[in-house]
Amino acid sequence: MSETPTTGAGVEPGARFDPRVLEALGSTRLRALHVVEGMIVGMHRSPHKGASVEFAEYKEYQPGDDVRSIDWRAYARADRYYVKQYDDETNLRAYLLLDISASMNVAYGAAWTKRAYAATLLAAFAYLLIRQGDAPGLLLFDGQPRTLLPPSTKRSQLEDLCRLADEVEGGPATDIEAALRRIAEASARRSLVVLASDLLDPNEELLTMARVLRRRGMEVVVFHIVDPAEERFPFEGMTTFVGQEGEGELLCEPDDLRSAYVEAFAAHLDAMRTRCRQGDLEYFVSRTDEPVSGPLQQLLQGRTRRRGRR
Amino acid sequence: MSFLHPWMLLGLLGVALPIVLHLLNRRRAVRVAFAPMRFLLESQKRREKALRLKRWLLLAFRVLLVLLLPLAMAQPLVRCGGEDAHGVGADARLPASIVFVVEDSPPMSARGERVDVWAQVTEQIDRRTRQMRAWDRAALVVASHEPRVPLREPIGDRVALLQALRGVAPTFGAVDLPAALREARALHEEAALSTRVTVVLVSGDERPWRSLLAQDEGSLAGLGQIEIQPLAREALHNVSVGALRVEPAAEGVPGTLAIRAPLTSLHYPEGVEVDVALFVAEEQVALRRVRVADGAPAEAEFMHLLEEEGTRAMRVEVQGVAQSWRADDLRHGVLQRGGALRVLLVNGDLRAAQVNDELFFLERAMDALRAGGVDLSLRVVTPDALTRERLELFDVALLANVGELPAGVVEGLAAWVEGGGGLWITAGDQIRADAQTRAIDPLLPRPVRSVRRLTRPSDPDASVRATRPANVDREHPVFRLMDPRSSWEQVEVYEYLLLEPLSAESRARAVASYADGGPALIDEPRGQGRILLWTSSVDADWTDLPFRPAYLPWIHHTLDYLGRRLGRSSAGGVVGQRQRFALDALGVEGALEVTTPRGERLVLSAEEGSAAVSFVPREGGVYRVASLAAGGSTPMPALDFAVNGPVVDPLWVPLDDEAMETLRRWSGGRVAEGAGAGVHERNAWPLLLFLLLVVFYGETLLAMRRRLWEGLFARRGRS
Repeated sequence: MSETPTTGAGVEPGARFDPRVLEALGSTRLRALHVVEGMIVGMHRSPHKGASVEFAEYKEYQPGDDVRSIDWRAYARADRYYVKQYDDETNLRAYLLLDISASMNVAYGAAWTKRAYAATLLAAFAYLLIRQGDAPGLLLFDGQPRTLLPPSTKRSQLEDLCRLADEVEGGPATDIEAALRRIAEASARRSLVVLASDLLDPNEELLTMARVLRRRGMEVVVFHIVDPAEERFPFEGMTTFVGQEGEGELLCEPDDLRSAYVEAFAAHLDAMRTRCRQGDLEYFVSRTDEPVSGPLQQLLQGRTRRRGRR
Repeated sequence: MSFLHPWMLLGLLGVALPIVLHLLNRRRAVRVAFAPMRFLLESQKRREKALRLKRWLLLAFRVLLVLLLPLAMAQPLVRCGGEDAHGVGADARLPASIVFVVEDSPPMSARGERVDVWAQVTEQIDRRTRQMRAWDRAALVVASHEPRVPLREPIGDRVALLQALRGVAPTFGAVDLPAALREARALHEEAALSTRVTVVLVSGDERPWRSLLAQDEGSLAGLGQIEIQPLAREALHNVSVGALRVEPAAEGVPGTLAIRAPLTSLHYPEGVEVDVALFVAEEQVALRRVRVADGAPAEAEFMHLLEEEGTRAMRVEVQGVAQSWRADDLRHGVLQRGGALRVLLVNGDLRAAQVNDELFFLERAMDALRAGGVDLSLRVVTPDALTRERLELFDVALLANVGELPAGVVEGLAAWVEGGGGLWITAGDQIRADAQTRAIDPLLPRPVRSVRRLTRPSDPDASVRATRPANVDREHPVFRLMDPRSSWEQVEVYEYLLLEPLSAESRARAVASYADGGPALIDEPRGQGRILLWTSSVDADWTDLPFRPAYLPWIHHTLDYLGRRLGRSSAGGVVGQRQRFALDALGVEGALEVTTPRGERLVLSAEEGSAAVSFVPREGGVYRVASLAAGGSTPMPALDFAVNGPVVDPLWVPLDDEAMETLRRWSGGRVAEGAGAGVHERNAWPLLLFLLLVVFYGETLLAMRRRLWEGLFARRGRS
């Protein structure tokens, strides 16, 4: 399926995912809605096919819903399309973990920061979940878990989630393991855990904690948010680099260190990919100059594949 | 080491520039908030040693750049020594054309206890030519008053070159260095070889360079590497002999001659005692010890008795002086019993103020003639004193503006002319057309009728109103040997004597007349002698003749003519100046044979339609003259003459550093100065520029942005 199909409205769906366009939208909520609408226009069907027999409620048909699930009787009565919702789908609980440490707040002249990118990504995912009756929750963390918004299907959940993602200030350090532990404590049910972080300060405990969550039947998805400037190191001329998490400063000629740095960073990405695979975590690298829909689609397609396997 | 443009060295102050720029760059460093500092710090730690090395290398390269650039621009001249450095074409494997330019002025003949300049010339050329390779070509130019090229073309045979050099010796004349360098350039062009080396061997006297320095830098173009080798950098001492004067001795037995040799010194401020020897017929006959000092000319006087008729070659030579220039250490002359032209000057208008004296200009002209080697003996008297003079002791008598003569003198003079004397009468305001002047009528070709006054010298329109000689008989012996450039016809005459018309039977004839028809010069043979009347004055009262270039030769030839010595243009010759002979005046029908001091015989034959022959003496010494006819060669000892160098004040001004600097600048540093010690200078700027390029490339490679490298290799990969 193409990521940028031409819509009947004449809008380029690809333009909806352009980070520069999204940045102009201002709030995370608007950005998320924009992303999801565009994505659904492109997809034409929901990835979630409800299979439960236990009816829960009706929901008005939205583009993307499976047309087979339209209740024609209800249509006859109300002259409107309704789709049946079942317990199995509404009960999905998703914990969205957003890294709000200082390292996520740098942009190097790019369209947006890693934090903005990650927040948009998670909010878009949350919006999809809410539209399908699932319950997204949010945990903001830096050196420690900061704010937890418990999962909920209520309509206002997205607004709350976006507001928190935009407003809560983060600290200098990062402790992902503590955030995962907090999720483990908060949820006993099968849940989906989505982590968005630049993973600059991961420790071995992260993998251990992620395995614990997996044993509890939770699915763990990791979005490794990467700013292209951090990957390619395009700086020129004498530069003083200032560490964001207490590493100090370094005055250097970027040319002198570029190759060694790029090498080290690539090794870091490889190591993270390997670790996540070893821990049976879904791992995606998301670059902030790429459309948000990319990782979102990867996530949805990955989940579809997993369901198919089950 | 010296520099062509030393002010460029100010650029060395920029040596701190790289460090200052580095510090400024540090201050202007951009601050970037950077998240993955951990990886950056690790990379920095890993590359620290290599980076430190690179930084130091960069700093060194940049400092070197700043140092090398002004150094190269200043064009340093590095003194090189040793055989290799001096080797002909040692720095070029290509064939070289080497032209030796040798000055031959008198200072080049300087010789003394520690100095032998000319020997150095030979030594230098010998040494340089030993380094010649089989494919090199060399030539020789003698920088004389007219440059000479002893070899027709550049050759590779050093023996032949040295042989040619042996035929060259220091002379007396001035040096035309620009002309010599032009010859050198022509020889280089003829050789058509890629490398040119011009070796200029000079005495170190600045004067030959003045005319060159007055030109522009183009005068050194086409000469390649120029090596100027002043062979003497210190003052060259000298004692020189001036023009000899030979006169009948006032005392002693008849036939005794007084020979006087003036001596001048250079760079002997304290004075020096020298021996002056007189050689007659190659035999030393006298020796005098004379003390001479700078600014205090001295004279060596000899008395010599010539027992036989005829001529003898003589020379006066300075000996026993620590250092002197051989070229002017001796002077040649010819001794002739009765040989000097004896002239009696009768001053008819003696004045207290010398400049107004009738003979003021004439006496000075005669001094100049004597200084130039004309053998004259003079006696000046007033008309009243004529009664006491023995006219038979004189060859020529001049009555200059003489209006009155004591009784009996006129008859005596007329008899003396009849007997062979030459009488020269010149006019002036003492000669009037009245009764008194009639007293000299018997001596005049025609009686005086009146004086024609056209103007005065003080008249602003004098040159318009004056008349000029118009009809000049150029075939007359007085004018025939005169250089036509002397422009005798341009002489302005303000007053002259008008004479009674010449009768048909008179032997007198007007040799020259004025533009207005009046007589100018009248020649009348009388008996064995002759009378010549110049109708204007011999001083500047009636004419501007004394101020004209024609004055000196006219007096010279008139005296020779009246003294029956005419036939040769001058009694004494100067090296390089043409000598002329009038064969008809000498009674020679065939040709003249001149034997040079080296024994070479020159046969001088007149061309058709001309009775004059000439040649240019190239060396000093006594030249023997003989007539050639069918019967063989007949010596004419009366015509033997000596040739010397021109009498000039010996001077030697060292070539100063400023002049050398100018020459260096003109040649772009290709002028090197060597003092004959195997040392010369080379411009090191090409080497410095090469180093500069190497350093620049090194700096560029080190400082090149890694991204550029990556882009370069990526492009190559794609291609």
